[in-house]
Amino acid sequence: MNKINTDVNYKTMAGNARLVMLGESNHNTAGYKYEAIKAIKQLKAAGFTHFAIEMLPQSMKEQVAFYQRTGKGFEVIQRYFNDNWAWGYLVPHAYGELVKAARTAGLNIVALDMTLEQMASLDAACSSDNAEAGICTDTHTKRNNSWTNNIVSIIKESNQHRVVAFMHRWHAVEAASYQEGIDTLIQKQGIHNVVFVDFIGGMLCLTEKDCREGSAEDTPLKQQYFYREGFPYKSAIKSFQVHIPEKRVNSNGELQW
Amino acid sequence: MVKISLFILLTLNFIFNNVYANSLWHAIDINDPNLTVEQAAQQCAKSSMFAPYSLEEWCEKAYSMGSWRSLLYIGYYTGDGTRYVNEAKKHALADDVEAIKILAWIYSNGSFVERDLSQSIKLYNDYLNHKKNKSLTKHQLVTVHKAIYTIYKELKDWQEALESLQFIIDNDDEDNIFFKNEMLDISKKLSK
Repeated sequence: MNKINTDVNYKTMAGNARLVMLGESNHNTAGYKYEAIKAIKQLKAAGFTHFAIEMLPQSMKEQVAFYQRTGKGFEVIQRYFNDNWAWGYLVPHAYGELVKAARTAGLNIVALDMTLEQMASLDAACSSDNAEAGICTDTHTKRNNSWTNNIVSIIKESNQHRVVAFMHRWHAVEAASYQEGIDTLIQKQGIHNVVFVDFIGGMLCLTEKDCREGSAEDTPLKQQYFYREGFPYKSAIKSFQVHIPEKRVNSNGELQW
Repeated sequence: MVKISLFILLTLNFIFNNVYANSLWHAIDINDPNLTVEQAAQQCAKSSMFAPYSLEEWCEKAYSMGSWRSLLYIGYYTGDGTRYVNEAKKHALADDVEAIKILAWIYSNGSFVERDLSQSIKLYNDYLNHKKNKSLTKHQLVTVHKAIYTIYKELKDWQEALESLQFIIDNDDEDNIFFKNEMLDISKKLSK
């Protein structure tokens, strides 16, 4: 295991990357979204220009652009999170705060994903058994391909463009043998300066009172805020893990660490 | 009283549907007698993203129904993939061709085992040459050759890499530009 560093600095982690993928190890921990807010502020200051997010579908591109341009219409975005991304206490609110923070920071917001209907239709077309046997490509991998194309088109549009993308870790890197991650897909399109930051730890709350510990670290580290280089599983790019303390996010969304 | 109960029921139903019923994650009854292995395996895989607190329950259920590959997610969750690796080895020995390919993948990425690229290449070749695999589709063959190519490239074994690369270029439409460029790079290396 690599040594821990308590000076969590995203600019240092990013280096000269054209793409930084912030991966949450689960969608249920509200704290990961607040950590992403810290990250995008630092990355904007380091020269990043775009913020891409898994949790918004490309079909909402117009609404997102309207919000970006005017600061109005956020309720449509928040409603989408409330309806589709309520995987834990304060989670949809935290996703909303993340999008607001991206706009406030001056990052161009990019809706990455397919619609739920498209996903359902793809799910029906390729079972995981057939995907594993290499007979067809499953929804997860098709989404990774689609996001990669979207991100690559932004990066290739201008040599000034640098993207920070927020997603689940198993999109950033390969989860199963048949689910190629963005880490390798993007290199096939000629983008090699890519960094992956995996968010771990934190407190997973399903309701205000139903919370579970989310850190797999030894006791002395559970309450610590730190990062270390590397990822315990396969990753084709420079990777880091940022551990957030096992603490609750306040009901008003404030961080406690 | 009936009206109040009905209201509570409708409210709970509304919340339940809004929170859980979309194609990202479905709340399925784990004890549903009509549950299929495919559904249980899907729940196992997706719980790693949407419901890690029920991952072990779903993955054990999928395993008990015959999906040994679901043990992968227990490995990720607990950090111990011993059961997954042992099942892959057991099934590979029993001539399960998919298990041979999975074992090759395990050795290539070093998750839960010591990374062993030679062993990985041997297993990928065992998979390609297996008597049960006489009718693999072009897509299946290309997928395996891409894996083999990646390993030879890492090993800087350019002659062997070229063989897989040529097969990919001749049979794959998706990433053709990338692989053609790789071919040019390797040819330059070999001509020096």
